[in-house]
Amino acid sequence: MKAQLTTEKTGLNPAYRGKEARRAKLAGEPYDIAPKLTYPVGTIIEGTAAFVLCTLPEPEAVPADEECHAAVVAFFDRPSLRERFAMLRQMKTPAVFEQLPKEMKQYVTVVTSKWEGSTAEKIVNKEQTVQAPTAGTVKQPKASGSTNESTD
Amino acid sequence: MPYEAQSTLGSKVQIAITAVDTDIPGTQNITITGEDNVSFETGDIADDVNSKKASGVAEPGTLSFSMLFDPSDTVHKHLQSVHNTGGSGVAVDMTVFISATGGTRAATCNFKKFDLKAEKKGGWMADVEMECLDRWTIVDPS
Repeated sequence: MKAQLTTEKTGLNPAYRGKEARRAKLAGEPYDIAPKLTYPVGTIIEGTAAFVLCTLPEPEAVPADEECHAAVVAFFDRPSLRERFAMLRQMKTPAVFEQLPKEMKQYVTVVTSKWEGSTAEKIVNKEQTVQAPTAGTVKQPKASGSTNESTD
Repeated sequence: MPYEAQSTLGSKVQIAITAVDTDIPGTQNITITGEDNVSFETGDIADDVNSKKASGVAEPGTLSFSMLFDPSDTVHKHLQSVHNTGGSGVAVDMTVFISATGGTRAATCNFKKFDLKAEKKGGWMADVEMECLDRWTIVDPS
């Protein structure tokens, strides 16, 4: 399945070899392959987990094919997700929250801070819909991160 | 030299999802080992050491962290799913940002442990341990 990035992201450069970079550094030779790649906005990514980036509280990608779109819609349409959001909202009400142990207060605060007012919550509450697949221009990643200085 | 962030204060752990680095929310107690610039020959070692060291060989890095596990979080579920379906046979690209310095470390790792626990007073916690296939790459040496 395919998704299109809506924010600039990075990823490990598959061409980078730590062993060769260390060897080059010890020998005082240049090693010009950067350890990271930068994926610009609009990059199409492909893989079985591509939908995960479209289902973050603030999605970092939108579906770029029907398979990804169907997976995202199915993720947000789960009754268990609506039930969990309802339970978290209930736990955040002052009357309930004040009675919670300190550790549970921390847990509820951290978990709800991700979801409250997020795009994902709006989709789950049917206030917003999942964006239909878009056919964007495929962009190539760029090398990022220092090269010869960058290895241990 | 291993170092540990008890309170992460903006430090974060990322997992590559379809090659793209993605934040893992709610991480705590991050420990990474194996980034020392250790490279030696057998002749460098003093005669009185009591253990043998292979020439120029360094241990691979490790990564461990705990997180406030949210079953509705898609990244947490992905992490759990990769562990459960692939176990130690699936390597994932991991990145650690150290907030105080801006340093960035990256490595490809295998799972060693993904333990879930729900305590009486708190919510779900997950303890994760990973072993790197190589030593940590210092993307940003800060």
